[in-house]
Amino acid sequence: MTGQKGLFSTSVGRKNLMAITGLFLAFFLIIHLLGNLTLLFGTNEEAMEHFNEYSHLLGSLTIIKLVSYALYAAIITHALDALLIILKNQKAHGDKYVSFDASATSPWYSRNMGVLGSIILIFIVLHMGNFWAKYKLGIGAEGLDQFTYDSGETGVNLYKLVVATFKMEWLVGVYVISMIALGYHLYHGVNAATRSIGVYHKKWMKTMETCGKIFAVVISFGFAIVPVVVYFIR
Amino acid sequence: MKIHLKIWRQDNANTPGKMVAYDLDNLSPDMSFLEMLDYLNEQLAAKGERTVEFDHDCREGICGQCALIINGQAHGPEDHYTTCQTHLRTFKDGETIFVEPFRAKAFPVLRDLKVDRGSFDRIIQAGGYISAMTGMAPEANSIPIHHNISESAFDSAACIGCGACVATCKNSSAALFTSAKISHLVKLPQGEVERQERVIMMVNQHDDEGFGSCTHTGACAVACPQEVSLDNIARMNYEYNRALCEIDS
Repeated sequence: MTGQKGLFSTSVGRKNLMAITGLFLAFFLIIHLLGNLTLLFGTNEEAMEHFNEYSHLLGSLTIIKLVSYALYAAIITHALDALLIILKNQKAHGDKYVSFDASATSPWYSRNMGVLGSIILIFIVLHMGNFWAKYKLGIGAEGLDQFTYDSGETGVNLYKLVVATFKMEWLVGVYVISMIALGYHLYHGVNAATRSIGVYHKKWMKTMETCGKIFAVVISFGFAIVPVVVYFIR
Repeated sequence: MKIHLKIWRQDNANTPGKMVAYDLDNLSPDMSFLEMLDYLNEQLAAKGERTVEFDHDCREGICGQCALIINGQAHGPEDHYTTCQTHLRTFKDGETIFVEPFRAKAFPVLRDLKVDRGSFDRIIQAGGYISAMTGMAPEANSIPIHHNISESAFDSAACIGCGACVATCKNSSAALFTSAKISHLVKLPQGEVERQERVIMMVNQHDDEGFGSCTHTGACAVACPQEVSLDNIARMNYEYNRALCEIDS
């Protein structure tokens, strides 16, 4: 057919890519949060045992390794695609309005997905520096406690690293603020993503809107509570 | 009542424009916004100045010609109204009102408050049609259509193409307009023949005209005088993805 463009190059196609990568990343958050919650329950010794064993289990599974590569790819694609969309959208603008009341027609977070996303991206870099770089790559891991797993292997005691990290007030603050940004990003993004890929049935759209909002609140609250609780009780 | 106006004046597409202040007195609150502009123009003409140019036609809220940004909102402060149906009683006595044209790259300003919305026509030309037999008009009720479907198609068809969706959108996207036209035809059996190529051609034309992409903020549907639903955009996205899967098979 004449004039047919590539799958992801039109305005609709680009948003498809945003939606697919976004929904995949949102799904990953559930798995991540389940691990974090082990930090909240039991005595310090029990929490250390559960958290370290769970982390070790995930790290030793091939499927999780493959998923992690997909996650890196999804984050990069999501961010680069957003950048391309923003650049194209800016070209679509006419002259700036002298007086314009954007708040009259749409909520602020829906208009600032790029800002919220940028906060999340900076957070991801910081977060991986805090834990992933030390635990996986051993960067800055000198002098950290070691832990012996049930299997007899040893590795960095991730529990102690987490607790030590969350004893810094400013970092707990940064984590909580980042999770608020994540919450608003999901509050708009999950529902918008389902529309981008074409979920158009009236009942399903309503369900997706409600589920997306509940998901955003639960996920962001769950992630935000962990550093605060660790700071106070561990 | 008294109104202080700040109106965008621009000679043509190639010259820069600016806001010019005008004060009006002895206005009736029951005047429509366009009648107020007529009143201003009479005064300007009497003084020998160039009148303020703006688009208008039916002044009944059905043609989609009038198109102003009033105090930062397309068609004024009330949701789901056209500019011509906005009356001065909506504003406070002595209020300062900013009046600007709809702004988007694809809507170049022709003069003052008048913009060229030809890009909408070209999106329609790209695929907003159906195949029909020539000759005698067919019997109107020869194709049975469920009442709910015909109502739903009519809701999409209610779009009057005013462009408030584009003017309000933070991305200057015409997704609501384009999707309303696509949904209107795809919901009916008559639109089935061009189902796949229509959505692809119209989305391509939308992009070629320089409109942005949809972020689902919902601002367009709030500004829309015809209450065209945001759901049309989801339907367009579905049709687009479906068409890409089917088109070469």
